[in-house]
Amino acid sequence: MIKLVSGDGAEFEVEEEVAFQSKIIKDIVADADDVIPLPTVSSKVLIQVIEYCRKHAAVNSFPLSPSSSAAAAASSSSSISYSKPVSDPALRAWDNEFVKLNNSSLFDIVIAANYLDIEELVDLVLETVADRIKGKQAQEIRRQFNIENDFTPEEEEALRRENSWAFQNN
Amino acid sequence: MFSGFLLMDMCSVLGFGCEFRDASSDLYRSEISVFVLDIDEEKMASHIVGYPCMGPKRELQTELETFWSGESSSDRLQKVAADLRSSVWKQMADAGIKYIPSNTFSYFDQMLDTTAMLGAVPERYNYTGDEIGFDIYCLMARGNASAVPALKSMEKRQWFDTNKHFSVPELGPNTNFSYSSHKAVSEYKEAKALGIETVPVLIGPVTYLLLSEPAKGVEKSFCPLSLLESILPIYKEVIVELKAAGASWIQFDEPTLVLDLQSDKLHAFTEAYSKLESSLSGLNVLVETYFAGVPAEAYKIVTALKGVSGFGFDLVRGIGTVDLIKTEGFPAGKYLFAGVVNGRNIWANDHTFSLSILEKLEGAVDKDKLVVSTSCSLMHIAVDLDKESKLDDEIKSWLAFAAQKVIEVNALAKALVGPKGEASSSFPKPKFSRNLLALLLASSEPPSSLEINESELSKDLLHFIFSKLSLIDLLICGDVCTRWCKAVRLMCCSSDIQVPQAPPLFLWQDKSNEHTHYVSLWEDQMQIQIQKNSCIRGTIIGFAHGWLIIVAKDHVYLIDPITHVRIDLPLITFVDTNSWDFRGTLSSPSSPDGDFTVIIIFSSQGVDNFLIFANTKDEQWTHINTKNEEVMIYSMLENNITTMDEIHLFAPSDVLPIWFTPILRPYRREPTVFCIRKQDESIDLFMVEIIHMRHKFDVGTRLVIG
Repeated sequence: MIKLVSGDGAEFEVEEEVAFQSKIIKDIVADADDVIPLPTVSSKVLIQVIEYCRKHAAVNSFPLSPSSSAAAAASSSSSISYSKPVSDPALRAWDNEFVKLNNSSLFDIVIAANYLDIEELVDLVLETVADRIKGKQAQEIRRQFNIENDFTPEEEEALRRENSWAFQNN
Repeated sequence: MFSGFLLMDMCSVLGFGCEFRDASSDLYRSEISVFVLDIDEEKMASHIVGYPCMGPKRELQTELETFWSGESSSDRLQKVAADLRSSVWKQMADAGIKYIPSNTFSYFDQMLDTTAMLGAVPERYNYTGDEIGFDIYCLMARGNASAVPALKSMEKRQWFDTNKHFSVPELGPNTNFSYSSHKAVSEYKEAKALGIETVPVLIGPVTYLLLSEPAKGVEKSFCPLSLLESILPIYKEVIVELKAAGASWIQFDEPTLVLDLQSDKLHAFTEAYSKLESSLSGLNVLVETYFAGVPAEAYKIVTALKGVSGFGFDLVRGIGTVDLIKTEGFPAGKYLFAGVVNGRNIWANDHTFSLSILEKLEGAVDKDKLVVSTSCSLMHIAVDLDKESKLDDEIKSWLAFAAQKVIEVNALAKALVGPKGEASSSFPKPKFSRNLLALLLASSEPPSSLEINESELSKDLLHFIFSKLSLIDLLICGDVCTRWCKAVRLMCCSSDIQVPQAPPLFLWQDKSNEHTHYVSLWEDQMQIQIQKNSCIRGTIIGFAHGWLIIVAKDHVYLIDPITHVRIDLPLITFVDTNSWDFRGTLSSPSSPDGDFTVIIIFSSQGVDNFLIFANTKDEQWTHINTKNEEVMIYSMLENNITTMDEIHLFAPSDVLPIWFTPILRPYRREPTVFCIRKQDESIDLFMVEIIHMRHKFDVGTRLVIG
């Protein structure tokens, strides 16, 4: 068992294979103590990350053969990620549920996942964010992500001029 | 690759500008030095178990190597060594360390030094007594088997679970012990001459024997521990001499106490220190343990040792010892050297955590007898962070090498005697950082609320998110705000990043030839109309993956109509482009440095068609001539470009792999080219099909079997 300590001091005991979803922890544990302080990860986020790792540790414990993952790559999927796709449909569905969070939570998770070097999770979250951008107009994106339109009118005009092409929604 | 670019610089984009980072890490350092200045008035109870002797730039190692190669004298080596020792002592003294170790310097390892001290030189080195010189010492360490096969070095073994090794003493019932190396005393005097009072460090007698092996020719059942009586007189001589030289403290390293020792071995400690007691009187004696916690049984034995005035415990790896101290009690009037600063890693210390341990101990130990220390010798870690010019300041602020650990120990000692409550707040608050490496190495960060403003997404995060968008979405993102606009432009212009995969476009030029229209079926009827662009000269002969394939006389190039990124292809020198119809396509989504193949089919009325293809890296086109009956190109090309979607290439199997491998590579998750064996063909034909470009990548792909 490996003990993870969140920034706010909460302790979480997790099995090795769960913690080892994080490459960083895997590297650290090889030569350090079994208590791993994660000062920048709040317990709320850590709970979510552990939940993800637990699920994926359970599924990933049977490594895919190259051929089956290639087949999975060919047969899936609606997104256009170049990264290794999650091949198990059930796990994919689980992932899709997992990321049904507000943007702010997603960003917390991606920061933590990046810190812990859990590539699949970073990928999953960023892909989710990308999905939330797709097919929207600039104004909608601003609303979605709470972004201020900081172009000056002149800049907006320049942008329009520069992009000599125009969009036409038929 | 992924973590690579996120690692590049997350924090700067997330709102931590360079200025802020630099300023804050300066702040961190300057506050540390304030401690140092304060401390000069009165030395805090701080102790260092041991210090690396290699030197900040591995000077000792370099010098040892030139010495062994015969390029320099032993005098020079000893001079370098003496300089290193004095700089280390001065550094610790300047930092305000009260208990500074001496005799932790070693050319090889401290066990070998102890062997030399005891004169326990194995027979094969022909040692004749007297002070052990550098020659015999080196012979024990390195041997001279190349000259004399029998002169093997002493066996090396791992020093506990570290990456250091030690020379295993080879002992037998007839081993003669004599006081043969006065290194401990001479180093103590050396420091004293510099005006620095040190604590001479010796490997304890019991640990020395427990780590020894029976010498060759001695019965395997021989227990080196039985030699305790024989080596104690030598220890006594050393102690007496150190006392005479003015030493007030002496440190015995007994790390074997952390092992699960049987009771007879534990009793050896009791016996040894009882016998040394008379010699030790008038001296303060520290028994130091490290690398783990002390088992309860050993704790009872060690705290009851006679003649010992202080005990050093590793409270990082051996945090359980804190409970032992509280439950078993700690002998009154004795010093506790609390190893709270981790000597095994290079992370900056978590002062708040360390202080909480020290505060826990205050109830059990007299406050003036509590000494802040390192968990073990610092010899296992790098020497000085300030010498690392290549590291980012941000990262540096999370690290602590030996020199920094010394400062940390002292800062803690200072905080410990300071007024309550102020202690923890007097430490600079580590700043919040999202830098991957810094975070990975940081263990001392207090909880921070994660106030992520979505609009302040890292550009690397943005990049990654954007790379998942289609061209149209990407362009819209460029209109969201200035930050996103910059990120989009960076993606479009930069040649070292992957231009996002563009949707397949359906293109036509209107009759006036002034506009070119693109329709992306992917984007649900989204239509882009561009004016005939100045950068597009020549004829558009095809398009794929967002690229236009342009032929202008003998020039062929790809151009991205939106970003104007251009990729030149080999010249067409073999035909007059004016007299042929041709259509081209790409094998896969491409980028300026990507790996893809361009295929162009030439057709003309009444003449055999032919096909050429080239990879970006090729310098010329490869021909497949349809006159040659081995290869037949069947093209359904009409004048209408939309029929590009059905090109069927047939090639015999023995030719195909050679010529078409670059095309056939199933590229990423959406292979654009399929290879199908036709069941009913008598001659072994493969068919290569370039897929319908108007299809959506994922769902619309269908195979058209010729």
